[in-house]
Amino acid sequence: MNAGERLLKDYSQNKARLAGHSMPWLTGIRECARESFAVQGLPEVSDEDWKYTKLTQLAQANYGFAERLDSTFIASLADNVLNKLIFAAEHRLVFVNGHYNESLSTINLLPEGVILTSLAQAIEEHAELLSSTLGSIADYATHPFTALNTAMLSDGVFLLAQKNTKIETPIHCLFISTATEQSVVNYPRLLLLLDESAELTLVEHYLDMAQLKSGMAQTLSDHNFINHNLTNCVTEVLLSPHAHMDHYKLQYDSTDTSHIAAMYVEQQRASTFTSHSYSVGAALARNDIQIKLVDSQAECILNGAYLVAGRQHVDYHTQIEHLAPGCNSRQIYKGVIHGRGRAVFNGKVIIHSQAQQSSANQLNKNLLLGEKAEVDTKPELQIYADDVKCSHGATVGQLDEQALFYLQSRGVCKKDAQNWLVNGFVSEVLKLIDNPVLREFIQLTVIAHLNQLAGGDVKSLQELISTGEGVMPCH
Amino acid sequence: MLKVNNLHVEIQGNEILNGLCLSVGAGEVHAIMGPNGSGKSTLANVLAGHEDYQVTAGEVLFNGSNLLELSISERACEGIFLALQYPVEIPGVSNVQFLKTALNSQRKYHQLNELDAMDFLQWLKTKVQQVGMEEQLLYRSVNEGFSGGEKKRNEILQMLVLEPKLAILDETDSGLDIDALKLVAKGVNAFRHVNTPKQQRAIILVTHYQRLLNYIKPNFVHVLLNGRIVQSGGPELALELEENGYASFVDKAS
Ligand SMILES: Nc1ncnc2c1ncn2[C@@H]1O[C@H](COP(=O)(O)OP(=O)(O)OP(=O)(O)O)[C@@H](O)[C@H]1O
Ligand SMILES: [Mg+2]
Repeated sequence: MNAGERLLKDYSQNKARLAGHSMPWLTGIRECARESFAVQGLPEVSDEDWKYTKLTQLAQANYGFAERLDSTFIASLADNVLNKLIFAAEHRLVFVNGHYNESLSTINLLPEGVILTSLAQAIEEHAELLSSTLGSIADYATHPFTALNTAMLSDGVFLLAQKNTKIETPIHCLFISTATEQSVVNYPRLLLLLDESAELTLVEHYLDMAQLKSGMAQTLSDHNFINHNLTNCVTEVLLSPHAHMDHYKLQYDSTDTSHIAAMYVEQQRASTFTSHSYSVGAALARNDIQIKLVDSQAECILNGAYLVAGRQHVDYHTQIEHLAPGCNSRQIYKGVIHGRGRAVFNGKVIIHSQAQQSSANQLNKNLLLGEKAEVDTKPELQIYADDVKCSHGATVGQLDEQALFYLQSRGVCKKDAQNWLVNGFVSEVLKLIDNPVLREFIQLTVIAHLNQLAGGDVKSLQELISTGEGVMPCH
Repeated sequence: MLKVNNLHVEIQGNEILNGLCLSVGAGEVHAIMGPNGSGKSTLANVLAGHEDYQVTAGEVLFNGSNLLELSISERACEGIFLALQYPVEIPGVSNVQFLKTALNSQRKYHQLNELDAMDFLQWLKTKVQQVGMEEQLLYRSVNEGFSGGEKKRNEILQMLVLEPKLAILDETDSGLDIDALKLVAKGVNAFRHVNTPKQQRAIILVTHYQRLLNYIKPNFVHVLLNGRIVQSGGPELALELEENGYASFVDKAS
């Protein structure tokens, strides 16, 4: 039995435990997706979209269904994570190994016209709404992991913001994974629907306890992937005319896990979407971001950074389709690759013939810090309209020697000088984060991680948060 | 304070300095002049420890100990400061953070307690005024998008903040407007005149123009040509060079 078949077996064994397993509209969706996955199978390197990303470890693992944890453990999570390691949030949905946990979550008063619940609850309470929207944006026909997620989806986030509603503070969706006896797989699913002129900020945050517990000092090299968990998540976003969403994703998994994520966004007229995506942990992290600008004047901005070391592998595949005139898209991704780390960036922009006056630009910059570090970066522009402004650039480089000399000549030791330059490199993306609370939190996470990768003074995230040290002022 | 004996330096196999000698005492100002490509910046960079340059012979003593065996940052901590001819831009690193990190690294080296953000900022602002720099430049990335003159002022600001024992200013005057030149000269003079003899600072000024020397009076002027010092004298030597250029030295050297 291969990995794909094992995952399917997991499905047939556990489908009766999934939320809404007796609802025909949902089982219909699941069965179709299951079919599609069975046909597609797991991607191979012969598949163009997976050319540089091998799934060897994933293919060898034997995943089980993630069980719920007992209440004492949950209580300790509240103490150790929520009270110490996270920014303050008014609205927070917490998931532990994929299951929504009400006691850890807080949802404060929301404006009228907003529904925010766990997906499991939404399946029970808003079946009608869901049946017409779930899966309508996330196209699984050419993406086996999206098919798999759709077959197995059970919990996650459902958000509906009706016309003109605005949520001022970020909605924090925190997915915690804990050490498990057996390798497990989680299938978080987010469905986010913004009606006309609705505005909000949402944070999708994947946090692995194993990564934290090690005091962030664990050596990243020579891992023997004992307990190889998988998170396979899918996010669907629908932005109606003039809606605006700031989406943050912070992926901070342990180096034992694989994280395979896809986000699908459909943008209607004059809607705006900003994505800030940070990939820090995981043995293997794959992020697919697919945006469709379906009506005029829509705008999307994608920013992100990935930091890998050891034998970590990170892969960003972005795809922006300009389907209507006068839309804008901008992307900046930066990568720092230590050790034998490997990064893949593929930025596809398709400008269809009707999409005149489109403007699209894309930039991917990489810093290679290890002699065996590798990056494959590829812009892919398909332009079928003639009146467009497009640009793209990709760089792969090392630290600027002259800048290193300059810093050292002021008394900063070599290691610190390197750190400063790397931090500076990443901070060009970090400073694009508008929300000050999130900017500070993400900066701290990134800086702590970079320091760790550089083998410098290891300060735990907690320590950094308590002193606020290392925060670069952004102006 | 600084003794350079028979210094030979190569870059990528080409000998740039060949047998350079220079002696700088505490409290002295030495001006070094010389045609383009004669090796002035090479000397400055070698003293600061730049790794592109190989010292193939000779020695450099700084306050009696061998400077060449120290790393770049150790030299800085021991009190050597180089204001670069072409200051480097460091995207994403804020100027104020850079200054604070540099100062605290040096304080740490000397086992002094690190300054906290408040104390540091207070003190920094007085220095910023001294060089007539816009305060907002503190919050931008180091030198990024700075004008030529702003970069040079920023170098002097760093010098005032770090208070080195020996400051090497490599063409800090070029690119400065007339008022800025006066301000920078004032800053340098203030830096130079410390009261206690023990703290007396020395300065090496690399320049092409006599004008700067009207504001910062040198004790000695040296002519550097083809990798060695071919003539030394008092301030009057600079005036002479201004008149006649390097032709007579070039003739002599060849
Ligand atoms: N990194 C380098 N690679 C190759 N050659 C170099 C390098 N740095 C300096 N040189 C050469 O060494 C010689 C001396 O250069 P240097 O910069 O020291 O001159 P300088 O006296 O400072 O000139 P200027 O007045 O123009 O600033 C020049 O011929 C220069 O081309
Ligand atoms: Mg020079």
